[in-house]
Amino acid sequence: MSAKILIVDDAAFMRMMIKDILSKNGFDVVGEAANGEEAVEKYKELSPDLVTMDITMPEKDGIAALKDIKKINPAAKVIMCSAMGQQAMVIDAIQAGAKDFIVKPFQADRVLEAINKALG
Amino acid sequence: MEVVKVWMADSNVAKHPNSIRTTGLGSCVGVTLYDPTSKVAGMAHVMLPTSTLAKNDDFKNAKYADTALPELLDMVIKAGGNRSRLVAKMAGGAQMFNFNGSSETMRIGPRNVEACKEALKKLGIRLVSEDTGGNIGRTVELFTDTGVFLIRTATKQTKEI
Amino acid sequence: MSDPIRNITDFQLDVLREISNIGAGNAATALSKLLNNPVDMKVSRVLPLHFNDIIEYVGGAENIVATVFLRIQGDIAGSMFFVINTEVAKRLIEDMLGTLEADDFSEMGFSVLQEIGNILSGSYLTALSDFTGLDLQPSVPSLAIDMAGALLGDGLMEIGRSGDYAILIDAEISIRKLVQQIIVQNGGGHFFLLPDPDSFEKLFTALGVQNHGSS
Repeated sequence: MSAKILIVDDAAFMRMMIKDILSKNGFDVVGEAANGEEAVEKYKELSPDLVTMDITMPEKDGIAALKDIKKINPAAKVIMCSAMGQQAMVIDAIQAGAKDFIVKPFQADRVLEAINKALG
Repeated sequence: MEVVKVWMADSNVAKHPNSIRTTGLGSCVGVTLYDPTSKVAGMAHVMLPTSTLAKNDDFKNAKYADTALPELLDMVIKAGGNRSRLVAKMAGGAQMFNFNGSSETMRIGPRNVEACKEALKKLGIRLVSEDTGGNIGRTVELFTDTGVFLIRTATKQTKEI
Repeated sequence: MSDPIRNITDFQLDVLREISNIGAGNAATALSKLLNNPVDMKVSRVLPLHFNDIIEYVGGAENIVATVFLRIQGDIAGSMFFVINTEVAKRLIEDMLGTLEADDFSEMGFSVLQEIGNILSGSYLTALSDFTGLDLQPSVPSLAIDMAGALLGDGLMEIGRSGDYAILIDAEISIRKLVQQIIVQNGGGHFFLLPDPDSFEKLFTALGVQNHGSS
């Protein structure tokens, strides 16, 4: 049974790219969200096995959404995916419970590697 | 006929038969005062709603709505305009970028429009037409011959008010 | 109080050029990876310019350009713009999506441009932040295709509160494959960083460079 993934990014283009990579590699993209608020709602609704999460988004940013999701399910697996890769930000994310941090633009291999590792 | 140019945070006057124009109005407002009898026109390209926003004392009055309008009125009167006959037209005050979230900077367009209207009211000058808001850039020109205010957008559409 | 921008020294401009090149280098690498195409990005100009000149610089107030704009917040505040002409924008989108793009741009096309702006600014700020140790957060980037005067004018509002000049840091972007297709008149794009006047002191202090000469 393929793993269920929720993709969160405010750029339709980015969501399309990630969905493409994932579905071609045996993952089941069960939902998409365009901001942090939607991300938390969809998480509750879909209970995905893993979430890919952008950081800079309107309504609620990715770090705040990560924290909310972790409150709902402390075992939630979230991989951050952002154009911002400053050390301080990466540390913040990991401390808040993210499984990994990928800096955009990413290669397909890097995404797949991170997801496979997180799903363990 | 010459076209008098008004830059950003700038103001000027034009006498018949010249026209007066400013380009690239985003959240800025192009406000005009026109006397149809003496055919004198003034235009200000206002950038910000109030001079309380200024971080220092050294600024051009045309930049802020509250200081631009009184100065523009003086300029138009000096050029031969009669205060009691003046009518105002304005355009601009758009929101060019759509940021979600309540950043004050991004509400500047509507605030500029409100501030210009307030300033005109204070001076007792009647606003007869406006093309404001939305999210498109505008170029505007006032013709002293007819008092027509011509507005042009990026898509090359024109409107006369 | 004097306008810190008018009083900036050549030395300070050089410092800005150095650190901006670090940001630009990182941004170019990021964009190359995204486009799968070599990208050069080098700071071509760092200088104080009057707002009117900044607008002339991008082809005049009525020149139609595609712009991604965002504000930087954190230890330093400022505006960032990614500016390209519409022909280049179309080619970029077509490269990324593999389909032809109409003159009035598709929704997905808009998303591509927005994301390019996001990635450029993100990698630029990451490099700047890691280098200076300052906290730099981007706002959500926003795309608009319209008159340059309207778009840049909006981005200059905040700086406009302090004066009529901004330090323009321009990194010219050349995408090698694209430059061959599109005539040199505007082959590529520009990435502008316009720091708010209050930011310079913080920036120079963070770099251990004293703020020479301004009162």
